[in-house]
Amino acid sequence: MSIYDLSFCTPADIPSEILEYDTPLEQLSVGISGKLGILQLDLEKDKYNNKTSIKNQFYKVPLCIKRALYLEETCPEMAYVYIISPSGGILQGDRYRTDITLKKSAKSHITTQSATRIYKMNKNFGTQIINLDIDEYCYLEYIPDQIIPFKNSKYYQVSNIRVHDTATCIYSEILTPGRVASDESFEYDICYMKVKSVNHQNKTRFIDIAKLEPKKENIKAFGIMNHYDILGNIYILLPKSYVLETKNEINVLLNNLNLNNVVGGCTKLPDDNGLLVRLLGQYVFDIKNIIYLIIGIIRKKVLNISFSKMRKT
Amino acid sequence: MNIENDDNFISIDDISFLQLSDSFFPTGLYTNSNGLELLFYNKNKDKKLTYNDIFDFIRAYLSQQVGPTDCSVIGNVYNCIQKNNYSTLLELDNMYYFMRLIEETRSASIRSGIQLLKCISSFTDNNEYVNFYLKNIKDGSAKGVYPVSFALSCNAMNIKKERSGLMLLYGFTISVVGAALRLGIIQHYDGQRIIHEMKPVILSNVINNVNRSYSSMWQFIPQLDIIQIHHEQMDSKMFIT
Amino acid sequence: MNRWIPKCLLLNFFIYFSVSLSRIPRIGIGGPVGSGKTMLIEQMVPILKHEGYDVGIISNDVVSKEDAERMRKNLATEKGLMPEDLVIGIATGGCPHTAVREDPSINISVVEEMEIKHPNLDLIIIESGGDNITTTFSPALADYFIYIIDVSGGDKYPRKRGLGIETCDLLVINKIDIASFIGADLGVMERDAKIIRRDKPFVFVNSKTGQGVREATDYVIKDVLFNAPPKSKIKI
Repeated sequence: MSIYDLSFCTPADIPSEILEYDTPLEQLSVGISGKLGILQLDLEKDKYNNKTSIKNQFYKVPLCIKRALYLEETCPEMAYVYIISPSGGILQGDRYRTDITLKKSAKSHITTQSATRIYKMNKNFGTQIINLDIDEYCYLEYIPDQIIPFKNSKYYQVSNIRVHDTATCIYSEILTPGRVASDESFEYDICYMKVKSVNHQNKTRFIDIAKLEPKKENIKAFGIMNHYDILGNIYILLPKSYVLETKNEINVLLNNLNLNNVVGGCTKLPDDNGLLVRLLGQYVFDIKNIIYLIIGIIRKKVLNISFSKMRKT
Repeated sequence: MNIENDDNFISIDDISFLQLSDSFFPTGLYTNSNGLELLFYNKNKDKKLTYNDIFDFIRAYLSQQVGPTDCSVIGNVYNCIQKNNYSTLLELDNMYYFMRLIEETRSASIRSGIQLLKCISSFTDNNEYVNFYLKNIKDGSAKGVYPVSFALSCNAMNIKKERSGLMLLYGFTISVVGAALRLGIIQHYDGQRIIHEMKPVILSNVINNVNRSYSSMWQFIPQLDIIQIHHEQMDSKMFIT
Repeated sequence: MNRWIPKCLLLNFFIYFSVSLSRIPRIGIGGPVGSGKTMLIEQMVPILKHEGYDVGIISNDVVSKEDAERMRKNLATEKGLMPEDLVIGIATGGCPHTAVREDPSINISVVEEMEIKHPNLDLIIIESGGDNITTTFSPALADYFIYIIDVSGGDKYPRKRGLGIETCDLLVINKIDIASFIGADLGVMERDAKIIRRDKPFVFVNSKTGQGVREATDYVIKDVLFNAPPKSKIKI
């Protein structure tokens, strides 16, 4: 029996709102091969060529990766890693778990190859665990594509981000209302997302827990999403000395955006542990562009490099 | 001391319930508009804020944040007291603090929380939970967040869990209505009508959240978060939040 | 003077319930809009600093960041008399009187944060928002209350009374330089102030030139600081 079993891939403390949907599946049942996606990735800076490279990797489809790429000419040592999900998304009963560690001053940009689709579900639910562990002086951008919760989908995601006080991590999320092309808008059952961050001594840095149940609450009400469709969250964990200046720069950027129907703001996390940026907009590409602009600010501040255009192939 | 009269009885505890629910109780809540001030100045550019806007504003807060976090904290504090569980009490304080993601509202919560506790401890008999929490705040092992302080204060005055939840949500409602009145958005009859019409929202949110376990607390008010962040940046303001 | 006895008792009472045990003497400054509260502070602080006293300022008289920043810039940045984080502005939700009187909790919490962060301060000055003539300071917030009016309202003040004028520990009558232009008789004001305030002190001030500010500051040093040497000069 491998350690990579169902319990390994299942979040502890699944909220009761999610467990309500915990019904058995008829064909591919929960926990069988093909429904447990596992990805483990250890990145380190190589002491000979200075490049960040993959020291260890393990994956089980439906999660996998390609080899690291080095795409940034201003920072050739930074490893770009693309996470691939051959099934194209999360199906009912899927349990995904990703563990990524960065050590020895590693620098990496991790993204997904395409959007995370949460497929239509008749029974059960889908979950994903994302554990990031970022050691001393490391630098990670974890910038996945948008989440698309299809009609009647049920999804629970837990992200645990452990960042050393000297390290930097930018973690973003983009949530869409559903399959817009099929005229779906907020027709999913539930989307529950927890983000927790601690430092290297396991002291809490922040907790953000969002629950959306569009069939029970009017997500488009004033104060929640109102007339906006796309939500963007960026959590920036960086050394305390950068916090205030970075906050001001990001707010200058956000207050001078020349975009229609996009609003956003940046505030300090508890105990100067980093920054939170919340964004609301109409289109995914607006939110993505802002995320890249913010990455540019952080790279300049922390790594003192400029940010070339993002490449997605 | 209870005075019983058929089915009705009244007690000192009922008066305590009134005392702590009164906006006269000194916790500085009148300095908070919870972002309404920003909305007032922003919206005034093209259209005036209306009665319905204020109603929706309060309702979104109650059902998407104050209910599922603050009210849930209240319930969990009472459970800690019942089980003599001091460590979970501190864990609740910590968790609430790290879930308050907007700087301005976080520090306002702590200021009001600590002042409330001190006021309560100046006239109630030595309450061991209030003392324990104050001591931990002083030592730096607790922050003193408002809902924990509020629940401990209510408990020290023999007020029941569910009532404490009602008081917190009611207090939030009147502090926003008060701000709306002082900003001149609504007039005094409207203010009372909002409070009246908010009663079912307050009640259902207390019922749905006061027994929520602290591991399943949540909040989702992205637009209000952004409004609060923008208020934080205002150059000229009358309200702290 | 004898008002100090009950106040000291109250002070002990408050220390007992206070989380922070090192209470720094606090004075409250109140007065109508435009009477010169901020300017008085800007004149007093350099004198206090010259005597070696370290001062923190909490201003409720803040309409915009600009107000607090003006004071910060003047006293901290330009004159270097105090660190910039010792000038703090507080918004009062449109209730400046409430914030220093019936519910001073926000002011108290900011004072206590200042006490913890800067335990070596000799004095904290709390400026109230400009308000009407009924302002008073809660004894829980301020140990000493200065009320400032100016002559431009006419010499009917202080005869018209008002809680601030009657109960303050020190009455400051500002802008005496313009009295003659507006037909205000300083002699009448002096006579009435003596009647209304009995033996409690008052000073005439021109905070533009600094005339009278030294005298007002001496009252603070004598009645609030009890002529104690500055903390920074006490050798342990």
